[in-house]
Order: sequence, then C-alpha cells, then structure tokens
Amino acid sequence: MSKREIDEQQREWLLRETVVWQAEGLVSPTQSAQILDQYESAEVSSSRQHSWALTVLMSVAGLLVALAVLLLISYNWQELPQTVKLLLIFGSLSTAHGLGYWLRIHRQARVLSEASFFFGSLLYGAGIWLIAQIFHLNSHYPDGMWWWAVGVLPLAMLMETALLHVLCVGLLATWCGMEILGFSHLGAWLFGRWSMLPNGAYSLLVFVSLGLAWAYRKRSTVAVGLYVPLLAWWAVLQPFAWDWHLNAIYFIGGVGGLLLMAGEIHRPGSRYALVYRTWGFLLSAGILAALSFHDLNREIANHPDVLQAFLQALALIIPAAVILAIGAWIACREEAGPRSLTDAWPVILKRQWLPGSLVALMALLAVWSNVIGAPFLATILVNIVMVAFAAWLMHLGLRDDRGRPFAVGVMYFLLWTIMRYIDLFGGFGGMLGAALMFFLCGAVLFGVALYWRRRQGSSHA
Amino acid sequence: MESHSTGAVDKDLRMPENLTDTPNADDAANKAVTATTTGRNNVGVTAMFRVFSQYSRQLLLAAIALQIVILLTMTTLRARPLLTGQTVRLHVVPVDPRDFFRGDYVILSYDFSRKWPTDLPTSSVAKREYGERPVYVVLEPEADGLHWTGTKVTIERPTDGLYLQGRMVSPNHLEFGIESFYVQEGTGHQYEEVARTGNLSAEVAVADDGTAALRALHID
Repeated sequence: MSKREIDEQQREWLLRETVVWQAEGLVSPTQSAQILDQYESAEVSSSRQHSWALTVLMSVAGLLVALAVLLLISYNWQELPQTVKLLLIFGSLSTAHGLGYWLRIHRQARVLSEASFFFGSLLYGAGIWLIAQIFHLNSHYPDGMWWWAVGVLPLAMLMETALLHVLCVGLLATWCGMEILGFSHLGAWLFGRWSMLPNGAYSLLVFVSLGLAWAYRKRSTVAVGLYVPLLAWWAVLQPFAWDWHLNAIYFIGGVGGLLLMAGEIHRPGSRYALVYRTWGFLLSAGILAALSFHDLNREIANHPDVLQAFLQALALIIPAAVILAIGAWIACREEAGPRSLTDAWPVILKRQWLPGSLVALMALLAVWSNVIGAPFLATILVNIVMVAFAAWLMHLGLRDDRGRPFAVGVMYFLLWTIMRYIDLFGGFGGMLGAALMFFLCGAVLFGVALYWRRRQGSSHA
Repeated sequence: MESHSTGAVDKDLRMPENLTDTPNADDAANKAVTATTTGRNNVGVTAMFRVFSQYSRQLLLAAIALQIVILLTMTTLRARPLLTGQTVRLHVVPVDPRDFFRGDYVILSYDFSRKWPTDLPTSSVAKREYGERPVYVVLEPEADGLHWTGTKVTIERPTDGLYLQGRMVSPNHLEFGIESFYVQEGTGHQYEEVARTGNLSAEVAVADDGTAALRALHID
C-alpha cells in the first residue's frame, strides 16, 4: 500500500507524540511503528520536496535558456536565409518535445519531461512570432497569443503538474486583455467578425472549462487557483467590451458575489472553495467599500443609462440562477444529501444567503441608480450589506473551524468602522477621536483573538 | 491557503510530483461518496480522462503534432504566394513604429490603401454602414515597366488579371497583408526617410487568388 505524504515538521511532531503515547501506555511500540509506517520516510519526503524544487528550478532554467536562445538567434536573424530560419524553428521545437516524449515514455522521468515540454511550448510561442517576422505577417497580433494558448492547452491537459497550465493561463490573460482593451470595437469573432456583439474574448470560457475540468480531476488546488482568477479577470473586463463605464462597478461587485456563490456549492471545508472565496471576497468587498461612500453613489446616479443597467442586472442574475441550480444538483447527487430538488433548496439557501444577496444587491443597485437615483438609500443599503458580509465571514470561520475567514470578517468589520468614522466624523474628532477609534479597534481585535483561542482550546479538550 | 491533515488518496488520481497541495481531511469521506456517485455524476469527465490514460502516448504525440501543424500552416499559407505567385513592385509610403514583441518593423502604405471601392455608394452614411469586408484591387503595370499600380478598388472579385485581395478595416483604410516589413533593429528610419522622397517600393508576390506576401523593400 502506498504511503501518505508527510512533511518534516509533521514527522517530528508525530515522532514526539508517539513517544508520549507509548509512555502513557496508549499505544504499544508495535502500534507506534505501524502508525509511523503509514507515512513516507524522511528520505522519500525529502526526495519529493527536492522534486518539486527541481521542477521549479528547471522550469526557470528552461525559461532563461529559451530567452537566451531567442535573443542570440534574433541578433543574427536578419542575416540567415529563410529556409535556415524555418529549420531552426521546427528543429528546436521538435527536439524539445521529442526529448520530453522520450523522457516521459521511455525513462519515466516525469519532472524532466514536463520541464522539456514547457521549454518546447515556449519555443512554439517564439516560433509563432518568428514566422510572423519571417513572412512579414500583418495580422491582428493578439491572435498570436491565442494560437499559442491553443497549442499549449492540449499538452497541459496530458501532464501531471500545473506547470503548463501556468503558461496557458498567462497567455490567455494577456490575450484577453489585449483583445478587450485594445480591440473591443472590432466585434466578436466566430468565423468572421460579428459587429452586433462587442469583442469580448468569449472563447476563453472554453479554455477555462477544460482547465478547471483538469484541475478538479487532478485535485489540483494550484490549477484551480490559476483558472478562477483568469475567469474573474475575463468577467471584470466585460464592462470595457460592452462600454458600461461607471456602471461597471456594480457588475464587478456582482462578479465577486458570483465567485462566492461558486465557492459555496463546494463542500464545507473544501480547499477549492478557498480559491473562489478569496477572489470573490477581494472583488465584492472592495466594491462594497467604494460604494459605501455617498459621493460615489451620487456621481453614478448623475450619469444614468437604463439599458446598460438592465443588461448588467440580467448578466448577474442569470449566472446566479445557473450556479444555484448546479449547487442543488450537486447536493442531490451526494450520498448523504437531500433526495430531491425540493429538499435541496433549504440547504442551498442556508449557504448561499449572503453570496446570493450580494449578487442581488449589485443587480438591484445597477437598476436603482440608473432608473430611480436616490443615492442616499443605496448608500445605506450597501453599508448594511458590508456589515452583514463581515458577519457572514465570521460565521463561516466558526462553521468550518477556520481562523482565517473569521479573522478576515473581523478585519472587514473594523475597516467598515474606520471608513464610516472618517466619512462621517473625521472632520470633528481630530486626533483624539482617531486615537479613541484605534484603541477600540485594537480592543475588539484583542477580544476576538482571545475568544478564538478559547474556542480552539475547548474544542480540543 | 490553510492546509489540512493528510487523508486517503485516490490512487488513480495521485500526483507523482508535488506541485499540488496534499489531500485534505474530507478526502476519505469524499472517496466513499465519489465511489457511489462517480458513475452518475461525472460520466463525461471521467470517461474523458480514462481515454487520456488509455491513449496517453498517442494523445501526447497528437498534442505535440498540433503545435507543429499550427506552425506549418502559418508557414504554408504565407509561403504559397512566394512560391507560386507573380512578383510585382508597388510604390510605398512607410511609417516606422516600434513593436515590442517583434523588433523593428516598417508600416507600409500604398496609393490604393485609402481608396473607397468604386462599386459602393460614396455618401458618408454609406461609409459608416459598410464595415469590415473583403475588397480587391486591380493591379496594372506602369509606364516604366517596373512598377505596378492599383487602378480600381472593388468589393467583387475580378474575373481576370492580377489583383490583390484585402479587407476594409475602416472607410479610409484597406489592408492586404503587406503593410508590415520587419527590418534589422535600428534601420527602420532609413526607409522612412527614403519613402518621404517617393523612392521606396515593395517587392510583392501575388498569388492567383489575390493573396500577397512581401519579399523585399527596394530603394529606387
């Protein structure tokens, strides 16, 4: 039976504990040995750590060598005949990938093979730009990034590590930014340009779907941590493609809420949910903080666009409904889960009340600000939701017994307090008021830390 | 992100290299659930990855071949006019920008690059409505016997003679794939200076379907 992974600190702790258990008669020496035998030895663990470090080192080395080769050849590039240039490109690409194939299939040297494929994929990208230069290609330059990603993704799907996915995500993020920020006026591409739709780099969703399928299948939090922010980046750029201007702030906040909803359809404690929550929090909490100021809400209300507002609201509500439906479906498929959709909804709503409310709030504000105005009411509502958000994070930490969301919730509440003090009383309190406020914040943090420590202590007792 | 204590690991999915974090505490429970629901839940995804495992060598070769095929296709499409087309010289007007990715290159413009197609209405409304679309320029030799010039721009493909196929980027801007010429770093300005005097021409290979490729720039 294969042994479980364990790092150096954990092994030392386990060794110390087994000595204590033996001394207290809880386990026999034989049982201690059996427990220790469940886990990989120090040598294997060290070798695994070195493998990871080796992968990183070799990848950076591959990157630097590829850049050096590129610069060296480009220095003499103009003097070389076209045929020689093409032979260099195809030859180097074939060599790098051929080496990777041989290492993987015939030597089972997976680390080295993946570094070789990574290097080869860099050469492939260099080949795209060099062939464009050789033949003086005058085309839409973001296409080069797209074709680079198209060539890299299939290879990445066949690998065991997330290395090539790092490259793929970098390429797609760059391509997405180039297309939307530089060429949104061109119209969407689908075997030709369609001017009725803005250029929103929509094919990125296909790449992200495949990448996430790989990530979940391989149980790679690293890969999920690559594709989720890429998806968020794409979503945040959509307002630029669709010319939503100031109103884009609601959509971006809503995207944060959608990411939080996606996090909540995972099991409590799931490490994948952390990725969605992290990015969802960053987006939604940041937007809420900005919208908590009356001045901003008033500025937005002064530039209404009703059509944009309804489009944004729809663009938030429809994905939210899809996520809820997927969450209900997942819940029903679990062994210990509800047996029908009707039974699933209370479970879903219990977990989704805050994220769903965030999305609904952003959709509502988008319509409210553009149709009705009344920035004061919008400001009040946002402030209430900020406090609720902080409370939800604290509840999440208590529910999953994790200190980080609990602490983030507390910090967010304190941030809200400080912002409101500055916004409403900053002109009056002066230094004394600020000192009192900071003292109170510090006292709250101290009290919360004591509470958490006591809670942890009682749960371990 | 917070880590959890190690748990049971599905052997089929275990990562040989530690670029992923260790399995978390709920994996043991998840495995039991997954074992009973995999057949219902993830039929498509599981089947796809089973195919990946079963045909890993063939798929790996196919993925490698895909990169080579993409580059070969780029090469072939651009090399075709160079190998099979008729070579002509066109008068050019260049502007020299700096492309961060591709080094120095000269932007070329031609006397027909700003012409409106003769078979389209000329009103400003019509010009706004006619967006990106294919256009064709009929080429005819000049009196000097060396250079060619664009005599007529149309949206219909000519039935005979030599012509260039391009696209209308905007009402005053046509592109034919021969608007960029890559030069040695730092040498672009000399072409720009020559072009201001009207003495720069581009050697272009034109295939029988109108696609073109640049061969060289000449200082006349």
